[in-house]
Amino acid sequence: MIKMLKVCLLVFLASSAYATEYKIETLVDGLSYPWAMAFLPDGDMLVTERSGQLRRISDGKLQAEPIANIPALYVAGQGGLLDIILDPGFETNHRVFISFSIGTKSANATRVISARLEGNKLEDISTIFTASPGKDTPHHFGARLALMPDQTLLITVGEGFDYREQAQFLDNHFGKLIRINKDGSVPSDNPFIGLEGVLPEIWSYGHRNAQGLLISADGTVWLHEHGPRGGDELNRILPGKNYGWPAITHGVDYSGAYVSPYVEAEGMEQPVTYWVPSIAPAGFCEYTGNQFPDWQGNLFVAALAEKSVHRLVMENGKVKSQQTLFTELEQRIREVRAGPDGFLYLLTDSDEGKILRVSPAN
Amino acid sequence: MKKAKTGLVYILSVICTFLLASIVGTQIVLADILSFGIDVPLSERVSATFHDIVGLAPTLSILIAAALLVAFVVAALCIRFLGGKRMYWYLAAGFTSLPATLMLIKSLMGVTLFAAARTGFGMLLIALCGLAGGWVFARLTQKRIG
Repeated sequence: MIKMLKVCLLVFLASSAYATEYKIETLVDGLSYPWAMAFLPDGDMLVTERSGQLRRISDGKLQAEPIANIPALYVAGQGGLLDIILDPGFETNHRVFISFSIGTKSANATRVISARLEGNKLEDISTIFTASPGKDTPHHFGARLALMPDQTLLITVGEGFDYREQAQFLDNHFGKLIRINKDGSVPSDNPFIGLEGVLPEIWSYGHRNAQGLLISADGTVWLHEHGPRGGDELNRILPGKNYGWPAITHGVDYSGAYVSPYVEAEGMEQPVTYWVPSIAPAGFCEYTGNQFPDWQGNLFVAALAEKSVHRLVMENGKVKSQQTLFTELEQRIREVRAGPDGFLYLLTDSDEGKILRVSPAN
Repeated sequence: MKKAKTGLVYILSVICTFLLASIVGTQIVLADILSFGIDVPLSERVSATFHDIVGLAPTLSILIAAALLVAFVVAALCIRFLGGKRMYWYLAAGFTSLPATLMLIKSLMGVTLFAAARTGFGMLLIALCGLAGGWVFARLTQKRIG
């Protein structure tokens, strides 16, 4: 049974256009910077903690023993144990894909493994992607994962903060969206196959630090990424396209200087929407459940800096309207996921992180 | 009176270093934009340069003020206890002040806050801006301190 650790919040939203009653319950607390979650077919949940543990939640209770056999990590800054997704055939093959940072202070990178979850441990672990080259900053790893309908795997790789110009060059993984097969090989229909000096696993480029990746029900690839001071972006991804960072941006550097004086340039894609000032977008999901009929087909963007979740009402590939939710929590939200039960689940970004469940008030 | 004048000269050296570093920083970033195949006409370059002077004023100027203050105090102590040409000490202090400060910040935060200083060449140019600040301070305080 779900352990109630916090008084339910009943919220009546001010705008009648958006009026949706919900309550928020604490499902689990005591997590160390939870980063991502996955829902198992048996009703259990897996949660990654950036500090390096993969935890299981059974019957609403956090299991004391972390999942064993997590590879050696580089835990620093924004790095550590990051995303996890299940193989669509998980029920029979128990396969999971996990992203994390590896290396040292002077040479670290984003890595993705494939493994089987057997009981309380990972087995048959194989590295299917390691970003290259390494970097000497503990920031901007990207590391969000998503499986395409054709069973290829998309991976975001950040530009490492100090390496932003590399996002415009195709001989490295900085600031790229990567597409590989589940065994780590490169799909033959990737956009840059056969081009000299270009890494064939690149799917799109010109990204900063994408912390949200989503394949919506209609097959659209959505990605959101952190800007610097301002300029967080929601992008609709098409293969081979250049999304502009750092040549064009609606943000400025943290120092106050230009990253670029331009917000558009020939051959570079414009975001579907952008946020100034920054909300620091993190997790991402599309709501397709039946608990909140008004939210059907909406995209949800978790926001760290704004301590909220943005609900995006989409129409013809554009953002028709936005609603800012859950600000009453006053918590940095790292992840938002729609559970198989139709409820919305949130992860709060803290050394006392929580899993919160959003359900209809009645 | 003497202290007030020294203070004014210090502020002048900070302003000089800040303006040079800001202008140099903008040109380095715009050179990166050019490397992407995007043209940067002169009008845009001038506009970006002024934008950055305003944008960096609340951050970089404070960083430079702190860096030069520490550097000039160390230089004054060296002159007093080690001797040697005071101009050389202040030039050395100015030259090393910004690289030392930026490297300290990187060691603490993991990233380079002033983007122009991310490469060795950029760091050298920023160090030269500090050297100019050291020269201004040494030159304008020469008679009173030397």
